[in-house]
Amino acid sequence: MKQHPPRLAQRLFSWYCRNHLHESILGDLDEQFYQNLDKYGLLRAKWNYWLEVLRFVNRFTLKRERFYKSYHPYSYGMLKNTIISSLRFFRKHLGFTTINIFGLTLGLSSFLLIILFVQHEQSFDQFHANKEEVYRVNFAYQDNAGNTTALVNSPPALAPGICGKFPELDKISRLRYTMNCILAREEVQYYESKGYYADSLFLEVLPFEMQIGDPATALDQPNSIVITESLARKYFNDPEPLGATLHFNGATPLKVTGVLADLPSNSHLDFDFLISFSNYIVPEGYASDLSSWSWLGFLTYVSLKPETDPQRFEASLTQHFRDLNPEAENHLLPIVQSVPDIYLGSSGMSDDLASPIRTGNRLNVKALFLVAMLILLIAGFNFSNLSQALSVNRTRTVGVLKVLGAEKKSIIVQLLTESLLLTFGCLLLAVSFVLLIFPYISQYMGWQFDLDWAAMLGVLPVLLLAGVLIGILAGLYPALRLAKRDIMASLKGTTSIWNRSPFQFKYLLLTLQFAMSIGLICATFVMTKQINYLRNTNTGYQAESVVLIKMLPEDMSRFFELYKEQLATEPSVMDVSRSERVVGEPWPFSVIRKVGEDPELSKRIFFNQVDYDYFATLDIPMHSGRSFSLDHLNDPTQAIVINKTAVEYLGLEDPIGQQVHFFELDGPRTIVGVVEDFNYTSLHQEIGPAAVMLPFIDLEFMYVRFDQGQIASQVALLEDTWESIAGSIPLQWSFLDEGLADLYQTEQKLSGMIQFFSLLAIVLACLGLYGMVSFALSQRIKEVGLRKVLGATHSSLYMLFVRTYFFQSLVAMILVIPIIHSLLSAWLEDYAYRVNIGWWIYPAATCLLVAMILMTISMQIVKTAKVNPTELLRYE
Amino acid sequence: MRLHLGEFEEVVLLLVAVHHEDAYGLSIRNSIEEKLNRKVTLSSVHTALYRLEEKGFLESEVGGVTKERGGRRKRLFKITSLGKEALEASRASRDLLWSLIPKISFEGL
Repeated sequence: MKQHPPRLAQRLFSWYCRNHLHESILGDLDEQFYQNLDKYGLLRAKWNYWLEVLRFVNRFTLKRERFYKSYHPYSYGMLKNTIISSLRFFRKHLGFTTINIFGLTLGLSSFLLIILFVQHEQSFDQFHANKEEVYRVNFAYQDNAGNTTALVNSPPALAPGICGKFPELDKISRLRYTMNCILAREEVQYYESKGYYADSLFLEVLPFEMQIGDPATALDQPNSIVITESLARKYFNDPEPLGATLHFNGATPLKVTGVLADLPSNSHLDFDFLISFSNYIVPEGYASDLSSWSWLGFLTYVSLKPETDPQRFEASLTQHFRDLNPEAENHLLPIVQSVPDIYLGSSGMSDDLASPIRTGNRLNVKALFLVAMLILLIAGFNFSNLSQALSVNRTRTVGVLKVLGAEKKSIIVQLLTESLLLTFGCLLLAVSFVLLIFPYISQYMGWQFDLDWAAMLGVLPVLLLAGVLIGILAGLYPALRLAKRDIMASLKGTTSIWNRSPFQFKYLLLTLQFAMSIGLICATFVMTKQINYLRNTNTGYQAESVVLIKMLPEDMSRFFELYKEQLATEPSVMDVSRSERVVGEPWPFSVIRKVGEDPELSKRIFFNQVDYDYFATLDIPMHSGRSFSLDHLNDPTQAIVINKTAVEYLGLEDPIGQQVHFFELDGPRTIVGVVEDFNYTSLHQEIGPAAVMLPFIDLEFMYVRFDQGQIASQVALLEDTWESIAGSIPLQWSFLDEGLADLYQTEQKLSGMIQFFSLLAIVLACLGLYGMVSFALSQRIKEVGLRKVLGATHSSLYMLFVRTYFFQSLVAMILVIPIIHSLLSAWLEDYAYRVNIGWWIYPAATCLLVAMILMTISMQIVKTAKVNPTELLRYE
Repeated sequence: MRLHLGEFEEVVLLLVAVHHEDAYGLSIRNSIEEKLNRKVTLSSVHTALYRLEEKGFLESEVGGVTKERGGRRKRLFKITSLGKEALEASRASRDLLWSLIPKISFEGL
């Protein structure tokens, strides 16, 4: 046997020396070995070889360089080369590339849109410089029976009462809603509904941006008004009307002492003007005054000293209330809520005044965010699937690259670069697309914010991250597979590099995508069902053909009788009435107890002040007893009508004629009638125990029921009649049912978005599937030919390709049911009146998906199956 | 450019010139051993060669496959004009110093 140099030593050398010197040194070593072998024998030669190998470790041999001249993958030349070869590849597979780019762009655009919306929802009240220190004091009221109502409101005595008493308290300020009012400058007069009476400190507690005027003093003087810039333009046609005068409700002159920049769209408070608090006079007939600690009719904002724990402040406030009124302990519980939390965190609380406060819903935001992520995932999966499928065509290219000396690493880098470039191209397209369509989309969705650069910059990191992730994840797997492949097999390019096991990566992705589509279809189903239910549920009253008129309480008391009398003579007018609260708005509550019962047993009850004919006007049937009537002279002070729920609630056997104490201060009232339950607020809330009585204060809302079908043609007479009796005072009217539809605006918006984006997701899924199937067919075209030659029928071929998708849809359905069911149940929980989800929707949604799948792929399969097998087999 | 040569470097450089067209690591090592009767390792010769190449005194190309080398090519070195200059400078400085030695210095040695 011929002696050989020590192989281990050779390997050691090859391991540490990997540059151009390797070959010649190893040659020299071997040559020396054979010399030594002749001279000294094997052992010495081997020993010497080992020693030399160890001595050769130096900076020349250790230097890592390539055998050939290699360029950095991101050098100009290589990048150019990568781009050119990618573009050639794309051009060669134009159809698939278009699908790929289109799908990803669509997905990224939707993602971007939703993220913009979510970002806006979460940005509420973040613009206040002192947002960490400002809180609103809400109150929860608990009656003796343990019923709790959480309100955003607080009593008027709170702010002056605790000011200076707590060391952690910095500033405190109250707001009182002005209700609907008229502002006038000479002849220019409008109804305004977005205003508050505000304590002088208000603009320091919540420092809204002020254009002119001093926030510290603007509201100090009585008869001051601070208006927003757009209101200034509306009345004065001048953005800086400092010192000008506006007349409030036709009487009080107010001096403009400041102009605010228009409130940002992400402020939970949404007002146009602030009037000095000293102008607020408690209306006549109210049972409370400004020293009340229990009248929850105000909004209180506090700014605490930095580093104060709001929990501790809340605790000391609770203690304060306990000290104040020991016997009524636990009845009013203060809740301190940080201002940035108000918008999304107040969905369980109602506003006793129905003042213009924007509220969002955290769950909706989460749901949308989830949809955004799902869409991104679907788009990413599609992109990844198609890239992977397309990469099959690259085997030969990669083989040639390898023959020419490309290393694994450079191939991986090149393929990844291509994938990233494509992703970022799509990202750019998506951003420009969103910029282009944003105005239309936001109008369609009812979004009330503008797309500005700040918003775009805010989502940029997320977007870039998404782009990088998609680019790398989609590119990495095919790149690794291709780079690792044997050169000869790559060059032959005959066998597929993907095995056909059903647990392949891309089938997993496809199944997940199906699962998401099924989930989104289900969500769309249920949401649409719920919203239709809300719209069509019998509320217990008829809002059609009813016109709602809002007026100032003073005008109401001056003109109502005359107006009603004149309208009643018109044949098309059926009934006219008025009330304190309009249906749909939450009712205030008070306490009620049977005469003779312990005042401690008083129960909470919702109430409304209404006029004669109220039930007739809104077409609410009486259950028993009678409605208020002019024939009974004592009705205004001694009669009360309760709803059916209240009968059970109060435990009344035979309610008609029973005497109750309502409001404590009031004398006993007789229950004269029981009215059928009707849903006086929105369907979010259950019908509570409610009572109505004739008015003891001036009312704001008036209803006119017209004969059915005549409403559109007859509304003009409302204005004419009004003008003849009230002169220049404007009339503000609307159709009641239209206003009620706004109650479900949030739901409608959400459902609109979910529907829109679900549709998009399904389109994306089908698009991806289309690409996949076209690709699979082109890969298996010879198989189809062979099968046909061997006697396969069209239908058996069809089934061959379709059955995988059936199976996957089934798996997807099973995967998705638990997740989507719990999500939808959580969403429905928000509604007192809700639909059943129903188990049938899951198979139904799956069937729908399968139908979509079949529609997408059938044409292609049939087309392929119909071709003459000789043509298919001639493929090469 | 520093034209200074170390002693071993100079020997290697000279031998590259000696082995015209056949100057590679092992041949130079063998010459050193045979002609100068000095024991050197292959790796030190190689290192010197690379250092000289780095300095620009040598250039190399590959070629000359033989069976004993396992089919591997040799790295053949050739002296450059810079290398020649360096050798000449070294020799000149030595000559200069030789010429400066007074005869008396070696007397009696």
